[in-house]
Order: sequence, then C-alpha cells, then structure tokens
Amino acid sequence: MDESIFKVVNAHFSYLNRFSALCGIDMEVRKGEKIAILGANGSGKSTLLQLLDALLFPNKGDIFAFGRQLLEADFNDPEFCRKFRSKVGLVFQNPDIQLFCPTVKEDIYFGPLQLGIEKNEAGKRIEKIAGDLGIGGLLDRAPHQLSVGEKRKVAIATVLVIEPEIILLDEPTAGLDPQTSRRIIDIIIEANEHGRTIVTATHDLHVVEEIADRVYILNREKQVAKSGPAQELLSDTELLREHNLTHMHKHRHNGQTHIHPHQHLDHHQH
Amino acid sequence: MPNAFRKNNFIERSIKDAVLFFKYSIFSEDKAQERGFLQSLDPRVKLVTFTVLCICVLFVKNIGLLIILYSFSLLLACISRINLGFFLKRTWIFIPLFSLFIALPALFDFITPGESLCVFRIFGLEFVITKPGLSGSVLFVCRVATSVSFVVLLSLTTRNSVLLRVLRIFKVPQVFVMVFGMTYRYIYLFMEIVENTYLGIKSRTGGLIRRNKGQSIVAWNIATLWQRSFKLNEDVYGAMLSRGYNGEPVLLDEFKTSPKDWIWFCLVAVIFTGVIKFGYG
Repeated sequence: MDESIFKVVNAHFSYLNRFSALCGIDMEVRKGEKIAILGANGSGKSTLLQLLDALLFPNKGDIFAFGRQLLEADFNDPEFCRKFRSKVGLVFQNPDIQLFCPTVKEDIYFGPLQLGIEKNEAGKRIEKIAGDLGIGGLLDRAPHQLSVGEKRKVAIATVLVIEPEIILLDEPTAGLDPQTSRRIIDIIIEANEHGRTIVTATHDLHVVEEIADRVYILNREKQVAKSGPAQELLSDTELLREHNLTHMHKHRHNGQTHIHPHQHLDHHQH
Repeated sequence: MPNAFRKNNFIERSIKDAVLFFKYSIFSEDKAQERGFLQSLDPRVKLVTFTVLCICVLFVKNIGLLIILYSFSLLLACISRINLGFFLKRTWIFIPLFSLFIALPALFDFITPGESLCVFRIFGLEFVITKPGLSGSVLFVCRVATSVSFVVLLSLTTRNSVLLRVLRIFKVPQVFVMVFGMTYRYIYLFMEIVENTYLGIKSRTGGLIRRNKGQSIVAWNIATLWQRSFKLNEDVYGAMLSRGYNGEPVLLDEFKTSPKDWIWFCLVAVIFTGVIKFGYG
C-alpha cells in the first residue's frame, strides 16, 4: 500500500492559457488504493484525471508516475508510451467518446492491439471480460445500438481488457439506473480486489464509501479543499454543503413541511 | 399563417425523412444478419468476386448474356433470403432511372446515326430512333441494372463495418480504414443531435418559425454542430491515445475462408472466363 503510484505537486492547468481548470493541486495515490475525487461541476475533476493519464500536462507544477516525472516529450518514445498506457487506463465520462469503432468487438480489441498484445491473448481476455460484465451478446453490435448503461459497461471493458494497474474513472455512475449503477460499482470493487488501484471522479456521494478509502474534495477555486479517509469526510455535512455536494431538501411529513440537508448517502440502509 | 405552417412542415419532413433515409440505408443491417448464402461467405472473397462480376458486366456486349447475368443476381438474392420485391425496388426504382435519362438521347440519330427504326415529329422537329441507338441504349440500361444489382447484393449481405475492414485487402492504408470506420460510427451520433436539436427548437417555438428566424436558427445549428464535432474530435483523439494509439493504428483482422468460399470463387472465375470467351465481341 505504501508504494507511490502518482504524486501531484502544485499542479496548475488552464485551457488555452486563459481558462483555469486546476490551481495548485497536491495529491498522492498509493498502490492498491481506492480514491475518490469529489467536487461540484466545473471543479476540475475530469481535467485532473486527464493529467494523471498524461493526456494533458500541467502548465506549472509536477506530476510523478511510478517514481518518474511525467513529461510530454517522454511520450515520443514508443516504448515508454506503451509501458505507461499498459499500466494506466481511463474510462471517460461520455462513453460515446470512448467507443469510436464501428462495432463493440473492434472497440474492445483496439487497446490490446495498439499495445502489442497478441490477438489470441486479447481474444481470451475479451471472452472473459465479456462474460464477467454480461456484454457477450453485444460484441457484434454497433455502439449506437446500445443503451447508456451498456455503453458504460463496454467503455469499462475497453479499459479492463488492457489489464492496467491503475484505473481512472470519470463519473462512472452518472445518469444510470440503480441496477446498472450497482453493477458498475461491483465491477470497480472487484477490480480493486484484484489489486488494481482505482481513482474515481464523481459527485454521487452514495457510491463513494464503497469505491473509496480516501477522498479528495476539490473546491470552486479548483484546489484541494480537504483530503482524508472517506468515512470522516462524508460525515462532515458542513464541508459537503460548502462544496455543493449536498443540498437543502424541502418536503412534507405528516402534513408538515420541513427542511434538512440531503446528501444521497443512506438510500439503501436496512 | 397556414402558409408558414406548411413551410415549417416542409422543413420538419425534410429533416425527418433525411434522418430516416440515412438510418435505413446506412444503418439497417437486418438483411446482412440473415442466414443466407451470400451472408455465409467470407467478406474478402465476396468483395473480390463481386468486383469480378461487375467487370464481367462491363465486358459483355451481348444483351442475352447480360439478361442471364441479371437473372443470376436475382437467383443469388433468393438464396440469400432477400425478398425479391424489396430487392427489385432497391435496384430498379432509383439508380437505373437515372441511367434511362442518360440513355434516352442515345436512341436518336443525332447521337447514334444508323438504320432508321422509327420516325416522329414534336413541334415540327423530326426525331429518328435508330437501330444501333436502341440496341446501345438497351445494352447500357441492362449493364447498369446488372451492375447495380450485384453492388446492392454485396451491400445488403455484408455489414458496413465489415465492408470497411475488407478495404484493407486492396492495400488501403489502415489509417484510412479507421477514419472511414469512425466517420460511419459518428454520422449516427450527429444525426441524432440534429434530430434532437430540431425537436428542442420545435418544443420551444410550437412549430411556427418565421423565415428570417428560421434561417438564423439553421445557421446557428450548423455552427454549433461544427463546434461539437470539433470538440468530439479532440476528445476521441484523447481516448485513442489513452489506449495506446501512437499514429499507426493496428486493426482487428479475423476473416476466415471455408471450402464454400473457394467453390464460389471458382464458379465466378468460370463465369468470368466464359464471358471473356463468348460474350466479348
């Protein structure tokens, strides 16, 4: 657990050098951890994940991965690039971005083929993952023929098939029905139990306790407002409300209207 | 008011029909999923043999032989579980119609001189249909109909995505095949965006839009769609990089031939040889 996978030191990033997305982020991800990045819309969660996946690079500050600083120039080296991409996988928020091939099967094969994995080996992995995720019947279908939940499962499959050490997930349960959402959470937990490090950006508080040991909360200033154990931070209702993660809920009980903070945490308590 | 409504109705129908046409013609793959003869063939063999059959049609100068080849295409449609009425509609209603308009002037002596077959006058002008003109036009229409039938058979019995992959046997670079595939993939997404945007506009305007306003909405929509496609382009490239893409794509190739494919290949080779020997000249 102590081996550092990612270390982010005072990272700043702005789009077109004008629109700030991150303003001084410090973060550490250790091997085998489950981490959640919480924050309201526009707080920079997706940008942070893309920095960790080396799709973007900080304007200021440093990011270290596996003990080595991530520099854009290093990705011109095909061997380094292949090694890094084999170790880190990102599930995008919008599955339509991730599924760009004409069929589901080609989409799942895409990663392994680019990374030089043998076709037979990739085929075996796909067979197993398709069975595990229940998407065996979708392999010959076109992505546009799938429901949102199916697309999300296939998007996760496209990353799992690479067997990365670290899986970055951007809002994996957003807009899904409860059953599909549950299945996705189970997949994330299973991946962690198999030794993978999981970093999830979300604002669905009800899934956080299950998919995270530690939590980073990003504020409107696009900085880390607080980090710590998931249970501790999730019980701090004032902190959550301050960062737009809970809201005041007005409703009627026994003919009387009352207001209380509502945070989608205990919806399935027995 | 009724006039404006009619105009809006026209726009609505145009958008709906265009989207519907694309969905049915590009994305309808129900015939390709039937368990018929052509569907069971290896797509590479199918593409090569149908190209050979089309070349055959170009060589044939004998109308009788063309009719035999055309009948062969109908037979193939039947054993591939394609409804004959549907198939004839696909081939005869649209494409040969245009060839008829091209062939029509060739009937007359001012394009194809020769032995006169029929003479008639329209507004005092004399029109003469010649024998070589008629046979040339019939030959042309038969050639187009037969070629189109083979092409339609190929496209109906093969999934578009597979057809794209098969292009690689013609040494089309992988990057082009991938770009074609992605274009095919995202056309549907953009069509849905256009459809939904129109519905969004309709829900807010009640369906009645004045011409100037309508023009500005359409212009705004084109600009927004372009912006979205640009953003999507960047994001998709990021998703490709994330999964190891380094500028030289490696694509899935899992075609397999069976004895049936080779029997079919030999049959087409025999037809080609026969046509070259007996039908050319």
